[in-house]
Amino acid sequence: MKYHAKLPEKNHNVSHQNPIREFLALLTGVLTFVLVVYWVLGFFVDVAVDYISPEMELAIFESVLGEDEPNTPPIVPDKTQLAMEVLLSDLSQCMNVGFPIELSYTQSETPNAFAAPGGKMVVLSGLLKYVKSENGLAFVLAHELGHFKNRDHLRGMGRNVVLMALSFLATGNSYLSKLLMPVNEFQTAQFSQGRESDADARALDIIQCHYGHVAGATEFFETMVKPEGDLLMHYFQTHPEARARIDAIHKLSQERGYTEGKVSPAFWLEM
Amino acid sequence: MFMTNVEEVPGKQIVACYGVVSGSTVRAKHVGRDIMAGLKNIFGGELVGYTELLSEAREQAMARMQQQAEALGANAIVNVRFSTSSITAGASEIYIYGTAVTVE
Amino acid sequence: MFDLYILLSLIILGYIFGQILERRHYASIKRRELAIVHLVTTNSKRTLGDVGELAEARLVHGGVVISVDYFKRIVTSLRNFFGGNIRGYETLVDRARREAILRLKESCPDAAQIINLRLETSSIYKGKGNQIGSVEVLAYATAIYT
Repeated sequence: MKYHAKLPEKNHNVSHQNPIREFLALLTGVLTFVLVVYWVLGFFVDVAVDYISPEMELAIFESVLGEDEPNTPPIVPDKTQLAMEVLLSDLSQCMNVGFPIELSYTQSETPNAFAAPGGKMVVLSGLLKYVKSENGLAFVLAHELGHFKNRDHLRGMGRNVVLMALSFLATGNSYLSKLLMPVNEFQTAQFSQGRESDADARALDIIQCHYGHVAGATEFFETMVKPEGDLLMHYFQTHPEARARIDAIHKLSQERGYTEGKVSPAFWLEM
Repeated sequence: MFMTNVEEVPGKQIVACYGVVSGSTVRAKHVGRDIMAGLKNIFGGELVGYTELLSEAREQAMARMQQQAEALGANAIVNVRFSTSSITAGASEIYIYGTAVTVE
Repeated sequence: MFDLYILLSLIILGYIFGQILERRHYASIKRRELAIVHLVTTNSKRTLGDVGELAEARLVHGGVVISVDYFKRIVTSLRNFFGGNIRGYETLVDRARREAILRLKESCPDAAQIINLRLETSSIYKGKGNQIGSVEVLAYATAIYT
């Protein structure tokens, strides 16, 4: 019996493919899958949100969140808060949100106002330094009312849950979902900016309905155009650029035939 | 190509030997199979998806071993042994080795 | 975003150094295989042909542990989504196996034959679920001396 001392020329036990190309192909595949499924599930989130009535939302979030305020503790309602509540209920006449809105006026340096699930609106005192008239404040309140009407906070939450679940499912371990994080942020920002523009449009209609003109609507954004440090960057990541929003509002006013009139003075300065 | 897991091919004579040849693959499952397996973990029963996965992997490994034997000039592989091991979560390595010979 | 940059740099480092080390290892394996190809190796229980006067039969072994680089780990995670052959790990176990057999042969270069070659593969986990540390291959056989 003869022994042949030979070595095979080709290595059959490995695939001869460029590893970089394989990595990029796989990454593209996973990203495309995540984008497509996010899109499809986002559609279902919208359908589900339309199905949840305002009463149901109120019941759910009262049992989950209880009586606690999310961030800073509220102060005793003062004249400013009461006046704001009056303004808010007047504005609500122009757009029926379907459930009662609870206004919370809190002391804070940040110029912000936000809508929280369960019908709670929080206005921070820093906001009052950035608007010059009652109309300016009214636009911001009306913008938040627009969010409530569109159920944007529910849509945002639903989509966030979907994104987290998708990232984890696609990659199977949490450290790899960091690779998909820019995609998540991009998707969230794009969706959010769309909703913000929508809320701006609704706010414009409410202002026109309440005052009969749209003067003062862009006051807040005018002050935001000059970037004043990191405090505002946070507010702007999920929102369109201030300049773009002002232009969009002006364009919309022209299309709908709204005119400018005389603004009402800032009531909080007299208190 | 003859393949046996005994010392010779029964009824034939070994005339030349080429040494040890082997074939291996490392295969991963995909999320579809994973989800089915997750459900089966609740209900029990054969994981058909995984069985198919490993069968395909074994066939590929065997094909690779045969290719290597043919490249050396053999026409049979004796003393074939199988080995399966879990290389990483969700993937397993199938390794088959044997002695390549020429029989008549 | 900072986490992402760290991840990307680890991937790039893993790829560059992993490829360099792999190529170097394969060159070394091919060279050594060529040098020791004359040593008869089978996995039969009987010796090949007639060896004449038997002086000694000894158990010999060779083992190696090779680690995964970060690039391979990431590609495997992505691959787990679609399924298919994991190319990175195939080269890894191939290298480890051939290295183990070479070490076995080099531990007994004067043997007449090596019979009953067997291999054992195992993976060494880092412990936390998915993270694989390295692959270990052990080869053992009987060396026949005349």
